[in-house]
Amino acid sequence: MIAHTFHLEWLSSALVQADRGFDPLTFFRNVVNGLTFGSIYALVALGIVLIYKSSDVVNFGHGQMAMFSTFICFSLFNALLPARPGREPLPDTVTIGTFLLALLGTLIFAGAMGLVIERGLLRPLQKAPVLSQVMVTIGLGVLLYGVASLIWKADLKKFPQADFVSGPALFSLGGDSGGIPISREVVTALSIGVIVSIALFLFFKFTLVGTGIRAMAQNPTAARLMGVNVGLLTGLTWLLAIMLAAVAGVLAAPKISLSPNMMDDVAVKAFAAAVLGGIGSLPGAVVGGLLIGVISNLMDFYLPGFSEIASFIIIVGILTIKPNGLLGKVVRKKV
Amino acid sequence: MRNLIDKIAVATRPAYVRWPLLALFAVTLPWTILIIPIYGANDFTYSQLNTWLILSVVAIGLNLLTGLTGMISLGHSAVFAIGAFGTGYFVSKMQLPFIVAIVLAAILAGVLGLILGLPALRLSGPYLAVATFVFAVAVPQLLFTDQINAIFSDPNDVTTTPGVFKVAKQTLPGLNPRSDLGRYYMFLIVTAVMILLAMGLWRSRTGRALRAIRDSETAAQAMGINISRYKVLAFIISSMFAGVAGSMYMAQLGQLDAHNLEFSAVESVLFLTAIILGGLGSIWGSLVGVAILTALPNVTSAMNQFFNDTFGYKLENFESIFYGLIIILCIFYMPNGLAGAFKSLVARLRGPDKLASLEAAGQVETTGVLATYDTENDLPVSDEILAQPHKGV
Repeated sequence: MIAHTFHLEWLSSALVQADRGFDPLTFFRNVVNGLTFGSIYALVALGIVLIYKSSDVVNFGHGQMAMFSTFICFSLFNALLPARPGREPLPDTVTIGTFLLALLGTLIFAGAMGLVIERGLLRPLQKAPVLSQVMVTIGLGVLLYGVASLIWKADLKKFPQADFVSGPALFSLGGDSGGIPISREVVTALSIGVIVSIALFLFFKFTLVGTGIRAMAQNPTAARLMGVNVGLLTGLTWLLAIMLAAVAGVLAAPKISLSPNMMDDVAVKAFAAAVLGGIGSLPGAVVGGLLIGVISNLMDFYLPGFSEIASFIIIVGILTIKPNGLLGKVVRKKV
Repeated sequence: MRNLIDKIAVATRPAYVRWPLLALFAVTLPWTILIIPIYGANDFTYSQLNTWLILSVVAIGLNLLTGLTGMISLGHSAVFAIGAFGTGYFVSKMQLPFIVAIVLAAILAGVLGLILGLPALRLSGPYLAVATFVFAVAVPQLLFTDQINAIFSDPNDVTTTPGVFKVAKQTLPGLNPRSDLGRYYMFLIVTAVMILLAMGLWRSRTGRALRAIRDSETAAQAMGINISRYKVLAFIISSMFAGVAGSMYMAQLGQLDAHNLEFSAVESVLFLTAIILGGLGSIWGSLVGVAILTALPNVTSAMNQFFNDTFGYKLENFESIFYGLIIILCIFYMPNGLAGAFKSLVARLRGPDKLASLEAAGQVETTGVLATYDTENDLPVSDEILAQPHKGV
């Protein structure tokens, strides 16, 4: 005896609301806002793809490594800014000089962390099955989460922005009032994303080191026989990848507050972005990141609570049609 | 196919390994059943034991997926949560008896496993892990949303809150439902049934096919094993274990609130930690691994108390450090887990001949190589250059 029925009133009310509330301006505002987080996802996804290309392992600790680097940046801010009485939170904004100095220190730390992780944990497991390698990255992520909670506590912390990022919108598309405001945040995040993408493209296309990394990703044995220092380049890729993650963390922290699990959602969407674009493809990571950023921002606005399941459906849907992602290449396996 | 499966059946028959473990279990099980209720007769002990049994069922199910089939799932916490919520819905809203609810929860979890396993039809390795990971994050978020909770609750009923399920605490017929001891006996029966099912699957034709897929997908396919079908089947079976565990969880708690739930990917990592600590591919190992991880929060909270009292410093999320260290140290120093360590210890005690035969059978641990061998990368040529696995991009 079923004493209960389903209640689907919310669905019709949501549809009515969407029907009444939809106007193109709001839609495009959300698209533009989605690009901010899209660039952050793209930066994290680029790192995941770089590591996958060089070490053949999906780094499940990538989000936690980004989080840890962001906490280092937080500590550097604390050290650089004049002493504040008691346990007062950091200010909303810091000067550009302080910001860049702290970022530089963070990048050095992140690069060193990448190198140490590759040398100490992943290289000894080079010949081990993929499962061991993936589990080590998961374990490392959990460990970093615990250590960060131990050192900095698990509460939400305010994280400052550089002063040029905050402030009024730079300009407005389609009229000053009632247009689509283009905020400094969007411009900063997007331009960092674009600059990093172009720099990576030039690096891989034209430099000797970049060519070596591409050769290594294609066939490590042949690359080694051609005189490519595979070990060094793998370390270098990790260094680059964790630096990108640190930049993403520093960009994300003012918006989502600093805490040991701040990057969990970001990392999930970045994984989705990496898979969406084809996990071996760098342009794919950027395209996937921006797409996921825009889609999840729209979902958050029109159907709050469903953005994560949307990522899952998008992943499964795209991969069912194109198993190697949007921009990935087909890989044949040998017995 | 029969040829390959039979070959595997011969090569992996660990008769010389099984009896010491069985003996150990035969000694510890009555002790666990009898001694603890007699000496530590308080609800805390029982609720700890119950948690142990609940999580063990999930771990055994996950072991069927990871240890037996060689696939990784970070989505099991989500399936576990759905099992618990499904039970809550079936019992509190549909007024079904609990035993029916368990079966329905298992079926529901199986359907979820089908959804979770569908990517496995086209994906493997990193793609699959990422897809299940996103799933694990997505499902709990879905449970939080008021829209979803509104579907399953009656707007005219003011006594219940959407997303909150209350069921009567369950126990064996004839026992006091408030007592955790009765529930402990009930869970022992359920766990024993699940262990028997898992062992049966392990030795069955299906189990051998799954092992063939684990050892070499391409070779298994060449022998005529329908890889996609078996992979999804492994996901379904494994999820059903998690669903049953979810039911047990609901029976234990009696109430679940979607708004303050902690079923995240972190719990999936906990299950993976348990089976790696216990040993991939070992059912008894899973029980031991979960037992250690269930006891761990007590240790860390005691340490937290101590540090807080002595130095005024709180150790937040301290158990995460242990989980991380356990995973990393196990992979480097005890890749076959406690079961593997116990196995080689017994072999060592029984003399060099036995150890040599274990080594020949590939049963002795090698640093960094988890028990689920990936024979594709395990090339016979040990030359450093040639042993590099081929990576295509």
